[in-house]
Amino acid sequence: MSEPTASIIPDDRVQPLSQKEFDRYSRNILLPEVGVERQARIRAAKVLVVGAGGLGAPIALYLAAAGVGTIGVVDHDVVEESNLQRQIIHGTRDIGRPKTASARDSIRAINRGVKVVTHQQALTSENALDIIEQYDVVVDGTDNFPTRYLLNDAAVFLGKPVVYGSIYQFDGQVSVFDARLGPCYRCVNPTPPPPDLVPSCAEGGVLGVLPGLVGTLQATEVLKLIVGDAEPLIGRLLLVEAWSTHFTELSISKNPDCPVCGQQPSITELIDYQEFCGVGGHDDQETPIASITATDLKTRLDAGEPVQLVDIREPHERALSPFPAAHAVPYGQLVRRIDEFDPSVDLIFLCTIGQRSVFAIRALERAGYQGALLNLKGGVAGWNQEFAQQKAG
Amino acid sequence: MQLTLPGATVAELVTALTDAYPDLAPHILDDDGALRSYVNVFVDDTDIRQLDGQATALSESSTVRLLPAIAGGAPDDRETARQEAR
Ligand SMILES: [Zn+2]
Repeated sequence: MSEPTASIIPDDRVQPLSQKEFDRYSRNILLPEVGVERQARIRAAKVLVVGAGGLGAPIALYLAAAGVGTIGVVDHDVVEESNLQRQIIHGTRDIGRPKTASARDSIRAINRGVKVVTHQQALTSENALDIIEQYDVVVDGTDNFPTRYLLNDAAVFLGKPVVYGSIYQFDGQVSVFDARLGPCYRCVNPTPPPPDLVPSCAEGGVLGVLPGLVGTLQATEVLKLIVGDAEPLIGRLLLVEAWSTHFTELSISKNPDCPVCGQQPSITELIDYQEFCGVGGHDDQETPIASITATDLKTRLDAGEPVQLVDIREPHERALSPFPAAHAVPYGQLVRRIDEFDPSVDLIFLCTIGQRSVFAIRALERAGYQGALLNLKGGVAGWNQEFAQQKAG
Repeated sequence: MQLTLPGATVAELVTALTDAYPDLAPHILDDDGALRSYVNVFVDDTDIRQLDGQATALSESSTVRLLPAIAGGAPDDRETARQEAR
C-alpha cells in the first residue's frame, strides 16, 4: 500500500481561481478531496506529456479538461491514417500534420485556459534535461525503450515523478516512478530486452481502446500527484489485461543497487540510450541483412528458380493475407525446425512488413545456419501492394 | 497463458516450464541458463527481488507470473522502418 503524498506543486505558485473557473470546475471543487484550493493547484501545474500518440491522447485531453494550467507535448512525428484507430486527439483532417500541432488544437478546443507548449522534436540526451526541468511531472506516453530509459534517468536527476504507462496488444502497465519515494523504472527494469525480442505495436497490433484505458489511469495519477494527499501508484505496478478484464496490482520496490537511484549510482549523467538499448548502427561486427524486393522475388519465381519461401507469420496473420506459395513456420518454431531448411537453396523469409524477418535471420544465424538467408522487403504487405491484382498463388 | 507446473522454488518452476516449452527457453534464459534480467518474476504479486530471488519457495497455491517489459505507447510506424533498415 502506498502512503498519501504531498502535492507536487509549491504553495507559492498557487493563485486564487476566478469566478468563471469556479463555475467551470465546480464538479471537481465539490469533491472534498479537491476543493477550491486544490483546483487552483491543478491550474498552477505544469505537466509534460511525452508522446502525442495512443497514451498521450487521452492523457492530454483529460488533463486539459480538468484544468491543468500548462501542458507540454513532445512528439517529432506527423499524424498517419493508421494512428486514428486509437490516437483520439487527432482527426482525419490532421493526417500529415505534426502531432504536436494537432494535439494543441484539440486541447485548445476543449479548454482555451490551458497554455500548450509544443516540442516538435524527439526527446534526446541533449535536450531532455532542459525540457523536463520546466515541468512538475512527466507523463510517459512513449513507444520505445531508449526514450523510456532517457526519461527515467532525466527525471531521477531532476527529482521529478514519472507517470508511466505502456501497452501491447491487449495488455497495459501503469505505475508512478518517483525515486525520492519509491522505485524508478530502472529499479524494476535494469536492462532492456534486446531489440530483436521487442515486437512493436506496428507489428504486433494493439486494441484501439486499450491506450484509452491505460492513458486515463495515467491522467488520474497525474491529478492525484498535483492535488496531494491521495495514494498514488508508487511502489505498485498495475497490470491491465483487457482480453480477460483483469486488473492486477504487483508490488515493486526500490533496488538499492539501481545504477541511477541506488546507494552508489554508476550513471550520473545522461548516456547514449540508443546504444544502451542495442538499437542503431553500433554493432559493426554483425553482418548486414540481405533483402530481396517483391519485384525481384517475382522474377525469380516466374523463372522457376529454386528458392525456399518460409512464412514466419502466425496462423491468424496468414489467414488475413494468405501467401500459399510459402512454407509456414511460425517465428517461435524456426530454430527448433532448422533441419527443415536446405542450406544449398536461398531461404527467403516472409512476414507482415519485413521486420520480424530480420529477427528471424538473426535467430537462424545465431543457431549456426550456414545457407543464404534473405528478407522479403516490405513483407507480404509490400508484395500485395506491388501485385495487388495477382496475389501470391 | 496460464499453466500449472511443479516446483518447490522459482528456479525449479522455470526449469519445468522450459522443459515443457523448449521454444520459450531462449526468451527467458541466457546462455548460462540463468533468468534473463529483463524478465521480471512475481510470486503472488510480489517481485521476487523483494523475496528470495529465484530461490523463493513456492507452495501448492502460489501463483508465479513472468512479466516481460513492454515498450508500446505511441506506436510509430517509422520507428519500425528505421529498425528494419539497420
Ligand atoms: Zn532506480
